[in-house]
Amino acid sequence: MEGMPMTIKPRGEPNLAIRFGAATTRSLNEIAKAGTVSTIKLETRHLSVKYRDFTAVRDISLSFPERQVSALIGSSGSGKSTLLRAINRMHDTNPAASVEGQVLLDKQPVYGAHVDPIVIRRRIGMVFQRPNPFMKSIYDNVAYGLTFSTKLSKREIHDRVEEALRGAALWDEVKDRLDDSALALSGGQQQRICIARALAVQPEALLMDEPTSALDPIATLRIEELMRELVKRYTIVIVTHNMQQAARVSDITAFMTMGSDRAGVLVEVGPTSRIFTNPTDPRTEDYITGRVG
Amino acid sequence: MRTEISADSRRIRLGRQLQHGDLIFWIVALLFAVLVVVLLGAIIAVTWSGSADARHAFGWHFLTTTAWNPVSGQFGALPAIYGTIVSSIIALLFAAPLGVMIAIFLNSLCPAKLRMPIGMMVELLAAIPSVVYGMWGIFVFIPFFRSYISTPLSKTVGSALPLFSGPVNVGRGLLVAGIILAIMILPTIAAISRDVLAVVPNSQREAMLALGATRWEVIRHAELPYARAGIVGGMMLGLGRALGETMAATMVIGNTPKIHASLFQPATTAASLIASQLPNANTDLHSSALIYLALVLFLITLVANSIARALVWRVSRTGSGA
Repeated sequence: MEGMPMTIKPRGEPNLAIRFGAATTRSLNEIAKAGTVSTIKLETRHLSVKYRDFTAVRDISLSFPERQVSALIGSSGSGKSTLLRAINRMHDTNPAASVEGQVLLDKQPVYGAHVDPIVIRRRIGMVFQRPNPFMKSIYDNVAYGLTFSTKLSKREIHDRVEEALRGAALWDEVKDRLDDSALALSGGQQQRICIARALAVQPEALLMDEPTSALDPIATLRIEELMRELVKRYTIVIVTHNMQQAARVSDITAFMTMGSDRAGVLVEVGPTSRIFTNPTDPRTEDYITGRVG
Repeated sequence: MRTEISADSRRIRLGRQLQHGDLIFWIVALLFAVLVVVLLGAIIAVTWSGSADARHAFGWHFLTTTAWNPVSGQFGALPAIYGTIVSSIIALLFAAPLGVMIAIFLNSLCPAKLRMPIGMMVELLAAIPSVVYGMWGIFVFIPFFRSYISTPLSKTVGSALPLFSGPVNVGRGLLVAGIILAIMILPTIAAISRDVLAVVPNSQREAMLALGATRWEVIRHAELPYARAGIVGGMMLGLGRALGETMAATMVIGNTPKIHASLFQPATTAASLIASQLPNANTDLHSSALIYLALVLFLITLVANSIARALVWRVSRTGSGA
């Protein structure tokens, strides 16, 4: 965020960049280009992902504003998850997958020649479709990301674990049984453990791949409330099948669909309120009104 | 009410199974299955009755005495038990880390093109007849071992550590046998470890990756803990094979029923003692003692294999090693 004059600003308030004089012109241009009032945290430019010869997503250019929730919606096979996983380089370990185009984090290329994917994944956390806690205690699950690659004292680790569990709205439920197995928790709690685990590493952005699809409605609502809380500090990109969820939690919605050659393409993106009330593309309208998908 | 219904439906299902030749098939299959149990029982019965003389003569002392003298009729199994267990443990110490490394390499580090050929070659090691291993041991490994390992070791640390003391000119001994056994059980450990590592759910790997773990950290913290019980099971199966291995051990261990502190000295295993002496056993007590030894060996391998099966079974049932 160096050189960016406005790093902290409550969601929805007018941009404060004007105060900062000389440096603002560039920033304002960027904001104007993005069409929102917020800084762009993450960006994809002409991003395509292929599995061998099969193109799973094609030519996606999207901007994800800082401290906002961006939702990727669309039917199965439209490449939402594939796109999401390209952002923190989760495709790197799959030799069959290849990524073309660019992903930018704070304007810096994520797929640069000298970029360490490990650093990228620590800056961009990820929460998966099914809760996948480790077969460890609650405490160890959250502390796990801290035990390698960082040199923290026990005290610091403990503080970070508590902070992360509070951040995931789980502390009060588990503080008396931190040594219990994480697998003994309910599905919703397990998913919040996974969120806490991601938060403990202190990422800047969170990618959530259908984080509530394996949960019941009440647990889903809790996660959604949590997302509204987390977005005050983190940039969130969520993939969801649930259009109500996208409408409830997101600021920006991007609609994707499967093209004629089965590659996922972007149809339209915009503020959630507009996408759901006044979509410009008929395909978007068909999808959100439930005529297809 | 409920039980009546289920009993009724069971009767109907049984009735259906017995129709259309199913009955014949069922009986044939049952016979073969029963055959396994009968065979196992027969082996136990034969070793039990055959060892009667020795059991009456020596009782439990058989397991704790060291004299093995067919001429004077003194038989103690301790050197053979010691040799069996120590050579197998040496084999496990070498083969376990190697096998797990091979499994990790094949699973997560190996280029896809090399995975099949290397995996097949490792499994091919299991197809080499043990007499070939024994011959390789005598003609290649023992001379090499004597020149480059046992001689320098006994001359340096040998004076301080009885474990590595000389003389080494015989060549055959516990350590050589252990290393040959290690090569023989390597494919078992590598193949089972590879299979249990392959079923570690991807979600565990991804969770670790997404936290910014390196490839090594993913293996160390996600894959190995998850597959732990299965890997240990593979090691125990390897141990079971090492305990019972006869031909290669007989050829390279030296066949001397004595307990030495040094690993370079000739020793014997239960299997090799039986194989080398049973054809020449002149007295009933001698054969009976050898059969008693077979019974002991059978029990040792039974225990090792039961532990192995239990561990592998637990993994395949719960999919977890915790």
